[in-house]
Amino acid sequence: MNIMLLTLSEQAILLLAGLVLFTSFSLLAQPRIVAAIRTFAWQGLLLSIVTVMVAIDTGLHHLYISALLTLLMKAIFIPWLLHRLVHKMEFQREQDILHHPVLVLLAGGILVIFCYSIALPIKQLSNSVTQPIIALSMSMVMLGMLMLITRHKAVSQVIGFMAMENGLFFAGVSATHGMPMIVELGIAFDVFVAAIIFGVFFFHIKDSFDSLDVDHLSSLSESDS
Amino acid sequence: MVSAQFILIALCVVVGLLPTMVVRLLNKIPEQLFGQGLSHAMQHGWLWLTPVSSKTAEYSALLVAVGLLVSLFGWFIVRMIMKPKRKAGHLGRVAAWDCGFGPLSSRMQYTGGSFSMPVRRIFAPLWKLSTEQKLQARNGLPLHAHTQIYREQSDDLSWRIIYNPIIAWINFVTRNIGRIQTGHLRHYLAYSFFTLIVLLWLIS
Amino acid sequence: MIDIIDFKGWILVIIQTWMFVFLAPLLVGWLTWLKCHLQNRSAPSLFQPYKNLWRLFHKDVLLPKHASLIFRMTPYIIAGVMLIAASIIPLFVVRMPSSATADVIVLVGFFALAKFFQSLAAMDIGTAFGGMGASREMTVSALAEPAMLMAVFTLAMVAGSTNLSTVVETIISQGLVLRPSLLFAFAGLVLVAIAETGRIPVDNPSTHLELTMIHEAMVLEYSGRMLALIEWSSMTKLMVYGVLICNVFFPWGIAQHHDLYSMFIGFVAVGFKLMLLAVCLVVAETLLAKMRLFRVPIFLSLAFTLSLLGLLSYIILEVG
Repeated sequence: MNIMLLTLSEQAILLLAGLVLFTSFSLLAQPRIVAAIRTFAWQGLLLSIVTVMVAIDTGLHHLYISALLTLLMKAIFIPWLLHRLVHKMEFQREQDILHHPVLVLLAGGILVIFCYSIALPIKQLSNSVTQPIIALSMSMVMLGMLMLITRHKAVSQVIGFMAMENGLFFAGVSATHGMPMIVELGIAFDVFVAAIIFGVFFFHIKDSFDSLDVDHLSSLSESDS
Repeated sequence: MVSAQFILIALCVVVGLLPTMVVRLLNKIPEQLFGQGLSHAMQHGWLWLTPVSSKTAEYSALLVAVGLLVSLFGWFIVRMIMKPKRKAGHLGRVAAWDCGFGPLSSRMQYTGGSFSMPVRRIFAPLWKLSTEQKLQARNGLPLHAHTQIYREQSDDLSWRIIYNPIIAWINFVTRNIGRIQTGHLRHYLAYSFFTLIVLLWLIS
Repeated sequence: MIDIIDFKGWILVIIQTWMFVFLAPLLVGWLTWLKCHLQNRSAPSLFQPYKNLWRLFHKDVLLPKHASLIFRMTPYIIAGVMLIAASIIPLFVVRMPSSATADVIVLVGFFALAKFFQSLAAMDIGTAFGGMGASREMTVSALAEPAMLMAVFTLAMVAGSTNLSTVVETIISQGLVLRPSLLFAFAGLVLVAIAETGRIPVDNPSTHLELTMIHEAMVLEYSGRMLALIEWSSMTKLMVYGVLICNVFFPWGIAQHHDLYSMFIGFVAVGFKLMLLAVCLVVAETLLAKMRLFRVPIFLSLAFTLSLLGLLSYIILEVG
């Protein structure tokens, strides 16, 4: 599969997929919380545009509804919710502590290569235009998990979790051209509820520890550490 | 005494200007190691270095050197032309300006340590670099310091990551290898029995 | 192998190189004019850099007392290296014989050679400024070179060659292909070009404060025609990077045949692209502030990540 053999809209799909991967990387390296929320919103917007283009290209109309759901939830509602929380807790000037951002970015690059090598056997099975995106979406899941591991503040970890879910949605769009509508609606509702519950938890954590640093949670243990 | 360095410099320059000759000389090594050498590097003659093919990448070191000399010579010509416009006499020699900071001493020069300070600071986490600087004064007053102690400590990454685990593993193995010697006859007979079985399995 | 006995080709190479040299101050003048207008100041004329260079050429050269041969030879060496670097970049016509002798990696080597002599000359006097400028410049370029080479590798993989003329020709012949790898390589190369040519946010080219200098600190002791040559070389370096970015990533308009009409079109096209690139550069310079030196590694690691993403996009997305 050579990119020159594809039509312009299919090339645009691959281009936007590359940009979505770039937003994953920039989420990894972004210490400012407000900027991370904004980057996550951009990721959701780019994802919905890619879904619309796949829908136009393959003619599957249920992907339009998926794209609309993604736009409303991931690009508008959840960033708005997180923004509101951050402003209410007066966190907008806080920065997350990033240890060795260069090493984290390099680890992200290695993860992308690793996911590509894992997705190689799928190459022979699928011949759709979105086949190379499967490797990208798996690496988005891995990068989201890397963000969960390397961050200290709870808001960044929630964004990492949402980025993982973005990657899974992207995998669904690229590998199977969408999931059954019931599954999509169920996942969207779960994410919605999760965001609200996270918000409630943020307030509780802030009340107890006066900071959203999740390392403080380990001070609840009974041992003398 | 510096003539030895000049010989090495001349050899370096020759090696750089004739890469195809060097590749031809060294080609035996990859041929013996991997079975194939870089023979297409010299496919287009001794002037062109083409590792893969001429369309992919080609480089002519001699022509680049000739071009460099031509352009330097060109500037020299320009300088010669502009020379009569200058005032006659030597180029003026004055003290260095140094942004008006006064007389220079040799202690103000950049040493190797100061030249590498930005790089050391950027890569400090890699080698766990730490510096410590203390002033010592005879009578305890810091402005009357007479000795300055400077200590820099760096960690060897390969020692910590590669050698130490190997050392620990070897120590573990050597401590526990004595357990083979149990003293019971049936254990030694069992060793030879199992070796026989393994060898029979390997042969089959 | 392109036959190097191509007489007409070599004439074109010489014409192109001298166009680089003569038009570089005009590019810098255009940049200054745009910046002044963007900052609501009255701008000097577009040809002010030429007048500056003319004035410098007619001034006396004052050498520091302890300057050695390296200090005296460096301006000529740097100018010569910039000439050669300019000769291998296609300005308005491709298929030049000089591109066959040196490819993009050799271009990186040329810049390294110029930087090496610049740093040596800066440390030659023994002032603290020279050492500071040299150490900062070497740090920035040590971090920028992996990013630049990664972007160059991406380009070479897309076009199948490192010869700049072949790269431009291949990208034109492919038509309009939306490649994520070229997008990321473009972004990485732009960031590296900003770092290497010493523009904001890495280095302020018009600063007078020693704390913020990188390139200026190295040329503090030069005067007269030596200073003129070094300033000219840095202007040529900026133009070389600009033309490289314009002609490799947006090559439409460049002349592929050596006839007068297409060369004229190519010249107009590259002039237009350079003017547009200057507008983008000036807007970025006005919006951003200069970073402190120890934030430059983060900037350059962003460039490296972008170039790496470009390479990964090529392997994952574009070629099965």
